[in-house]
Amino acid sequence: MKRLRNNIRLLALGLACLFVGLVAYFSYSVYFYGGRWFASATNPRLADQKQHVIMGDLVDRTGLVLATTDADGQRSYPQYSDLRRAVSHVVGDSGGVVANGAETFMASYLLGFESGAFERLRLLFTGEQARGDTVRLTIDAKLCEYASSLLSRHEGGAIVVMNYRTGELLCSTSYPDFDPRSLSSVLQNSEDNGALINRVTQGFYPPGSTFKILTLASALENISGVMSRTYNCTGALTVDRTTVTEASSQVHGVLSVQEAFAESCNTAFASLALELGYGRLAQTASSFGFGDNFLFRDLIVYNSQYPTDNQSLDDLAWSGVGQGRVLATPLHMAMVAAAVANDGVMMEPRLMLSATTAQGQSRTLQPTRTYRRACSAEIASALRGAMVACVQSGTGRQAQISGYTVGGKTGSAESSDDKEIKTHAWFVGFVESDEHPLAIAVVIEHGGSGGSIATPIAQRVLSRAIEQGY
Amino acid sequence: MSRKRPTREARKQKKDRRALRTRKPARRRGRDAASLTLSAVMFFCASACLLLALKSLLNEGRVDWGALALMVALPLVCWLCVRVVARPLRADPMLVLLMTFLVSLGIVLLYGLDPERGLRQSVIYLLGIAMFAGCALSIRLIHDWHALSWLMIPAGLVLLLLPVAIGEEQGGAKNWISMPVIGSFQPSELVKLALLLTLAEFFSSPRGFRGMLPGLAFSAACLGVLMLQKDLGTALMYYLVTLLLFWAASSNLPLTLLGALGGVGAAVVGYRMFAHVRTRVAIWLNPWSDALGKGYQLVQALMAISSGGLFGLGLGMGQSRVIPAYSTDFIFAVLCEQFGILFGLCVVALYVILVMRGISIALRARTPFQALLALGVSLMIGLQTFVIIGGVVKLIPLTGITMPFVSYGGTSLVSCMGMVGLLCGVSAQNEKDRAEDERLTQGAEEGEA
Amino acid sequence: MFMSDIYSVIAYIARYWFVALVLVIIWRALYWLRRDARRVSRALRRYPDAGYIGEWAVIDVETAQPTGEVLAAPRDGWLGSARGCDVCLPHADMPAHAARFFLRADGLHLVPRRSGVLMVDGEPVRREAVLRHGATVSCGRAALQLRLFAGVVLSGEKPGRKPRPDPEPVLPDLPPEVAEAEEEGAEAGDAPAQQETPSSLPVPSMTVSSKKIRRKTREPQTPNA
Repeated sequence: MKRLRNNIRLLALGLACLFVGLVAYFSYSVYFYGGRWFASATNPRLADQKQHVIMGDLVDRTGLVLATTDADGQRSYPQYSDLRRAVSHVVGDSGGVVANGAETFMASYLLGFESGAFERLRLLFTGEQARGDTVRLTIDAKLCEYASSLLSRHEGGAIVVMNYRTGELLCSTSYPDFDPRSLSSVLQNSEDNGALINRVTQGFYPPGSTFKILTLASALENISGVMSRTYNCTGALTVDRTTVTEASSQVHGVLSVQEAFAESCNTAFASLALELGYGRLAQTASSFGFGDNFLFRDLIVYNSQYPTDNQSLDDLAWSGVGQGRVLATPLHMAMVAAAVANDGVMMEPRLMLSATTAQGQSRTLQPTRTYRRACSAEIASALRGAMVACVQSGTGRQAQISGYTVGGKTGSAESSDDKEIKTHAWFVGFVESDEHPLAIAVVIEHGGSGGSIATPIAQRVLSRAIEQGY
Repeated sequence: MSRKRPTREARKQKKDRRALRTRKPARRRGRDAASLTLSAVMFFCASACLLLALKSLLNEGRVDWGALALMVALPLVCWLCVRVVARPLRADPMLVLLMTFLVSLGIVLLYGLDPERGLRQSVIYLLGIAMFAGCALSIRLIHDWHALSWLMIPAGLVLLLLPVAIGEEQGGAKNWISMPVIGSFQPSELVKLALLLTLAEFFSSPRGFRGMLPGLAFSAACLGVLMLQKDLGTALMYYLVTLLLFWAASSNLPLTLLGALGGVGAAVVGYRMFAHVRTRVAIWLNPWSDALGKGYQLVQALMAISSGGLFGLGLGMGQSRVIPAYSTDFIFAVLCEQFGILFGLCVVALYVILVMRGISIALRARTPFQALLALGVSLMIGLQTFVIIGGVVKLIPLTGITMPFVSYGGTSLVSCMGMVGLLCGVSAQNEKDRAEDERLTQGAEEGEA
Repeated sequence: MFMSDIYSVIAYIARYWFVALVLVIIWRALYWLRRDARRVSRALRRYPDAGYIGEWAVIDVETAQPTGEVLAAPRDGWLGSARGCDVCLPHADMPAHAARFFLRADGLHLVPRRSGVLMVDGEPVRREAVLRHGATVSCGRAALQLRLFAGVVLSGEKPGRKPRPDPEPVLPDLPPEVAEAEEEGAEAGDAPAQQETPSSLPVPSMTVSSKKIRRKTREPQTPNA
């Protein structure tokens, strides 16, 4: 019996562990994923609630109404079609067709799920119909409209501007866009369905030379004295089975590392990547958020990828210059630039500024917080210096704004082996200023050269943002 | 004024008298411990049914006699269970209370979803109480289970084979029979009781491994029949309980590991052979890959759970009916939607307390048979709860079993209450044995003195 | 619309009430679990012998007298030299798990793992033996005598309150203290005080090596009770 009793005690312990695990997993998954499960287009409770509650307004940072419910109970959008289209991806639609638009993702506020018992009681006594909260987004619609006008000349692209101290998104626009008023025609026209994708948070592009920020960060961390090195660029670097070449077959000659960064010398950074090796470069990539499962509270961002399986030397060399299997979303690259500008601290991107009840009380929201520490402050400072050099004397010359120090990195990412297809034009950068702590990422699909296509757009958007006081 | 205010002396005397009063005897103490909980359970039943009656009154304008009847009947039945039924059986009052709370919770939820099911469940509740009393009595009255166990083996196998012969298929598994009065009847639930008794009897045999063989053979045969019927969830429960009881009784680790490996091998074979097992695993990994098709069940359940939030949407609110199998497999999702995640976690805690109480009854049992029986019941209830809640929460793939006490299902409810009856029988026997022991040693002390 | 809003508000407020009730139930259930555990441990402290039916007295086979060492006798369990046994006699001659015992109305049933290894009152046990007060179980040079409490009444006995008298242990013939495997019948050698042994005893099947005998003789001889 003694043995039996001991066995029973062991089994009891096992059962207890099972249940503890169950409770822990349940709590964890509901805490992190609960909001996303709820705010899903296929949730019939949202549609049901709309019949009882007047859906609240979505306004932008300045108070401009982006979506409201009119007297008939229909959802109506701004008057001007350019404005509508510019913010279409961020705002989404009330039917949930656009994945992860704010109308669906913030439904718990807009449809009054967050209201407390006292509010409901009060409504009962006054007999009014319940209204959802008014949600104020962090974006500035006019800035988005301006950015969108710059994108519309091209095939496709995305522009995102964020405040690197608080993580607030000031501008998030994706092209091609759609008109939320005529959503059904968009759906019927199957060619246009790419228009429904929000390229800022869900578009995957190879970062191209903008990834050199991370390669340089990794080199600064792991190789001492790297900034004082010089490199002789001969225009081609032969690795195992492939040759890393420069864009438009340039030969840079002898460069310092900072000059190599500014001129975007592929061979220099490919050799740095080879020197660093898989492990160290992958570690830096993961500390900047590659491979993370992004679970931001305000928005859904698809996870950027950095290959962690056994890379061949070719893969490694190309990863160092942001090609190969490296993929990133424009928002993530903006967060990278923001982290560099913010002394190595990556802030969580925010889309919701405030939520106010129909009676004017504001709901308590969770405060801004840091997402992760990407690198140390010293490395960030060195990276800042390199990025400023890139704008002042390198490929990012067209990003200069008079009176402000702008840093950045251009990129021309090849998207296929076919040389006929143009590269994606990238620019990621920041404004080094405490009054205007802005970070930006611009992608132009098949736009060509980053320095000549994406950079001027970034300069214009940043200037407009500074003018508007952000 | 006929009564004077008590003088200071009188008050002091009263206080002294109260201090001198001896401790209340143990029986009174037990009554007080249970009475607060009993009142809480009765309040819960009454207020929940009142709320449901209000709902139909306010929303539809009609008087819901069913809900009003339940408002009176459910607390009454709870009270009767604890005070009238449990007392002569000397059953654990807290165990009975937990059981009645869970069943009443199930009835309330089901009534809110589908009044007919709620009423049918409450009728079966009464049947379950009879089963509970019967099982508890049987443990106290029958002391030699050997002959009965040999009888239960063929009877159990015949019962299990019935659905194959005359049953009907439901949801991919052929394990239901529809009977004229009772409705649909699932024999594998009743055979669970026979399995527990048989395993406890044979695994406690003094003849060692040779004595355990009949029990193992019975269990293997049941598993075979269940696999034939494709009732993989119940087969899993049978298998786990057999394996763990075998290990507890024999402490034979090599053989147990062999059995475990065999189970893992069977699982792999099942994965390869059965397409629906593969679908279940794929859906568990990512239900949104087929959110409107095969993953619909799990996706809706997860949405329901998160819509409830911490405190729930309210009884009778929310859209629980969009979840497929809302009254059987996914009743936990409905619970979390209407009562809240905090309430759901509390219900899990209540199950854990129930199981731990069963384990402590097993530890105090006098004979290996009783200990193994109590252990078997605790394992069965605990593992079943874990597996079904784990499936709903996406911790493990879904299996086709129900949540004990709460889910809709006549045979399942009756068999779970029967299992708790067995547990109460063992606990009553423990009390009797302990009283006898104390009397024995008291006698010994007095004799020596 | 208006009415359903009233209900939704009532249900909204009621949810806190339900959570409070279930928390009360959990709290009381936990309190009751703890109180029950305390009650049982208090009872155990008051009557530490509760659950046991008596004791096993360790017998010195040479003198056929108790050594003074006693083991508690539970109702059900394993007898052997392994540490996990309920009655654990760590003697070299005793196998690890010698026998399973359980109390029935007619006595303590003993079911050995292997037949012929154990001896009860001198007779080898084939399948099952029923022990009453004073029965001696031996295996080689390890021997135990069962002494039941006064309150444990077996069938055919009269209930009495006085402790029972200790009968003399009945042991089988032992081989002489020489490392010889075979030894014939009644030549009992140096083993003293063999009482009431029949003339022809079966030879114990265990072989006893000299080393073990030497270790045994080093044990102190306790005086007779």
